[in-house]
Amino acid sequence: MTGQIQKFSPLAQAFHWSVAALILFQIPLAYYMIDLPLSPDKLASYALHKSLGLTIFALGACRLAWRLVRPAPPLDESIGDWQRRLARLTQAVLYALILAMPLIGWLSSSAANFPVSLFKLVTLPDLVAPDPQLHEWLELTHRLMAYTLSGLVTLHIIAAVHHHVVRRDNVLIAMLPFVKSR
Amino acid sequence: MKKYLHHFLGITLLTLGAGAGLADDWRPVAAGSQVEFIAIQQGAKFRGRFASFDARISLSPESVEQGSIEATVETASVDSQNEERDDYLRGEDWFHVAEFPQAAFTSNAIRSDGEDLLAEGELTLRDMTRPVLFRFRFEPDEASDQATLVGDFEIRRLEFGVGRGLWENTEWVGDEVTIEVKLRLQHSTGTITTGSGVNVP
Ligand code: HEM
Repeated sequence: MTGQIQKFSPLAQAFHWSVAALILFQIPLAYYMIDLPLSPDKLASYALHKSLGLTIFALGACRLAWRLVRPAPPLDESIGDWQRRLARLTQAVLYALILAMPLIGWLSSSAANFPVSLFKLVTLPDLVAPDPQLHEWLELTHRLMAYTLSGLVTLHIIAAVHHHVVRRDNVLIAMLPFVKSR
Repeated sequence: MKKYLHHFLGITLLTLGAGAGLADDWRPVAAGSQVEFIAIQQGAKFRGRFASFDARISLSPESVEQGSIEATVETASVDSQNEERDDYLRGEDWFHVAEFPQAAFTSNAIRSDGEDLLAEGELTLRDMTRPVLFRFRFEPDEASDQATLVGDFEIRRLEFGVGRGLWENTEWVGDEVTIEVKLRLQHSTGTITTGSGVNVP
């Protein structure tokens, strides 16, 4: 394989890496904030978590839309069937979570009668009327999705590194800016 | 002499009338009454309410200047539709309901500005009393002995010491709070009844 291998477009890379960076910040922030004692700092962390989460939603939606316009480059032929399927499934669930988690979080906040503001610039409308029971369900869903997301992100990173270091193919390189294909 | 007596009786009756029977006394009923507040958290507004409150209102549209309003709210009945937040609001840093179970409003003067009625009065929250201006409308029913009173006023929670310590920071919990009152009133003739007030489920 030579430099003919296609890479993701610069825009796709920009969406991918901004979402990646935000998620890698978002998850530790979330586990940090939920253990804080109730204080203005805690509210500030929650507010940041919500604003970043909504930003992730917007960037993720752009990323997905752009992917429909510009499909991902084909995978290296050396990659087997089950691995292709696993990769496709992981990525599909990642997209689903990136879009669903912020919505569930927003719904959950509305159900708890906690207002949601985007960086204190715009106040988002309440999606549902306050409802403690619904809130509990949504909070649990958000939590289970967080475990799933954490697991898949880990798998996704291990796979990328495995391709790059062990298989020495172009899978990671296709998503790296400024780096030429092998 | 007769003329003077007439005059004298007239004034006496007028004075009695204003002081007692002729003033219209009202008490709230649960159906159609609510006391709500709008506060700011994390930069955005949310709405809550107090479930238990009471009011003694003496008011007739023809002579609002002679009216008066006294109202109380049970601070422990705070309901922001979030159990955790309510528990916190009942605590020492906020309403401290164990120490200060009631908030109270008393009018000093009522006037009309042509459009709305304005009650200048005092609000006591925790152990602080501050002047507030309650702007409202008062509409007795044509056909029944009930009336509707709708109005609101704004306060700054920190002037009442609501939110202490770290919570004096207003970045994440705003200082301004609007209180919106809607009362469905029942005409109460004769002596003002004492009761436990209204509890809206
Ligand atoms: C992709 C975006 C998001 C990710 C990856 C994410 C991740 C997480 C994680 C890991 C937790 C801790 C889970 C736990 O409670 O064990 C959490 C909690 C929470 N998230 Fe998100 N979140 C996202 C978006 C949002 C949004 C947009 C909102 C609200 C508008 C939100 C609201 C919350 C709330 C309120 C909690 C605390 C739940 C609790 O107190 O147990 N999240 N989130």
